[in-house]
Amino acid sequence: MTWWEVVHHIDDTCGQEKDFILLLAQEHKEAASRIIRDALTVDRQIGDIMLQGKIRGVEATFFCNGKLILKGLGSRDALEAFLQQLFG
Amino acid sequence: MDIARVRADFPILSRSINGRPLAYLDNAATTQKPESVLKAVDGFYRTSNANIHRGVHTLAEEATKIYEEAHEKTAVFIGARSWREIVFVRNTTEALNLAAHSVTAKYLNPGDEILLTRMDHHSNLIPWLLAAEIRGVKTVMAGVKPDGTLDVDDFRSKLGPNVKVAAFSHVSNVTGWISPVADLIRWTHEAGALAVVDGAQAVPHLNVDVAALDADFYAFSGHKMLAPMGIGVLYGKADHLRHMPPFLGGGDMLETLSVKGNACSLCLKELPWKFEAGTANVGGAVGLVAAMDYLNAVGWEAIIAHERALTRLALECLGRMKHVRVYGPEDPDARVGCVPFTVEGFSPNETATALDAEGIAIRSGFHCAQPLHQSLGLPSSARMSFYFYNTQDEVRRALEVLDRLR
Repeated sequence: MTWWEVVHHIDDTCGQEKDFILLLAQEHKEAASRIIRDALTVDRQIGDIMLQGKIRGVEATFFCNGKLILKGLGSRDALEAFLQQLFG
Repeated sequence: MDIARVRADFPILSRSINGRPLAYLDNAATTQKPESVLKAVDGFYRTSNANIHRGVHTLAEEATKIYEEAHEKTAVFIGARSWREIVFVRNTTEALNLAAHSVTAKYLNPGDEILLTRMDHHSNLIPWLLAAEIRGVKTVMAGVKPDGTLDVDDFRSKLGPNVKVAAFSHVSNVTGWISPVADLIRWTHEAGALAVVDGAQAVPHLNVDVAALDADFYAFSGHKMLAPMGIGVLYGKADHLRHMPPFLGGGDMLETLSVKGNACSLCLKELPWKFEAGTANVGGAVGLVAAMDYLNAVGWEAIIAHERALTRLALECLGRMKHVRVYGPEDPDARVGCVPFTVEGFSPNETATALDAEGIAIRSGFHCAQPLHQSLGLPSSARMSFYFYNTQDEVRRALEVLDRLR
């Protein structure tokens, strides 16, 4: 499983924050969700809607519908390097 | 208004998202389409599809009649004096680009000024900035108040002798604020300038009368008022349009093109065709007519009252949430159903994604209004926007999720 198989779509968010929103591929959603949950240091949980915390020092919010928001990575290259480390 | 009956007309509203019923609260971005619009567009392509004008066959004549009648019905819908003042374009952005290009080319000279506002959508800023640069014209920017509404005193004070055009929104696409558009137009005229109005968020929600407003130009999109994407309108006073050069050149916009040696001479068609080069979006125009018929059948009084009730509910409940900050005027009657907000501890993108997880569609980001966000000191915002097919239950569902975000 490689990151480009796991991630179905990457959206650059609109706004000054320049975060990334990732949508997990349906066929790898379960396995990828497990990896994300294992790597996520949870700071806050909002019911069954979302988990907010950090993955490898990067601010991350993981949603029940398989979306992942990553903050502060700055560039697409940094995002890809991060995903490579996370998913392979 | 029988809301259940209205909602039954919109097939998409019965969809589920993430296992929950869809609550579509992103109407300032685009609206959903009723069955009558879908059927009208489908029917056109099934029975009457042909390219318009200069076709002698029956289908071409039918399509031409349908398309020309769509101009007439649009003129009636917005109170234009003549159907020739209605130019069909793709959307508000194209309408404002047309206005900016052609008005600047005809009426502006180096040293002149264009007055813009920090409240406006990029669609009513960038075309003017581009046109001003090409023409060597200056732009001046009116500011906003702390609540994000236009500082009308600043606007008025900047209507100096060099201002030849003022371009502004009737309704803000971020705060939903209904500007005193008639006053803005009157002051603009008193300063000897032309008034160009972005009506993208007004025409879907208010009963607009362009002739009564005395706007020189007024732009709006079909897709924000139940019609398909790809059809929009630029209204312009005939006297202005007649003297302005076209924005696009091509087929169906000229009477004759004659070439003698290297010399070419063009004779443009009468209004509005000289501004409608190329194959028209006849299917879109058919959808626009069906959309206007639908809105007229529901009735403006009912639409406005229903949207105000939804806005009031949202503002009252959000106002009680200490972790939520709402932007725009406090008075629900001063805005259409459009409510921007931020939630403490969550980015607008997180907020919107959290709502999406619960089947609720809202928008996050700049909403194509970066100068307004800069003025408000916001990196971005979340925005709920309602239409007459939304229910109080849908708004409450969104509010319940927001209440949990703390």
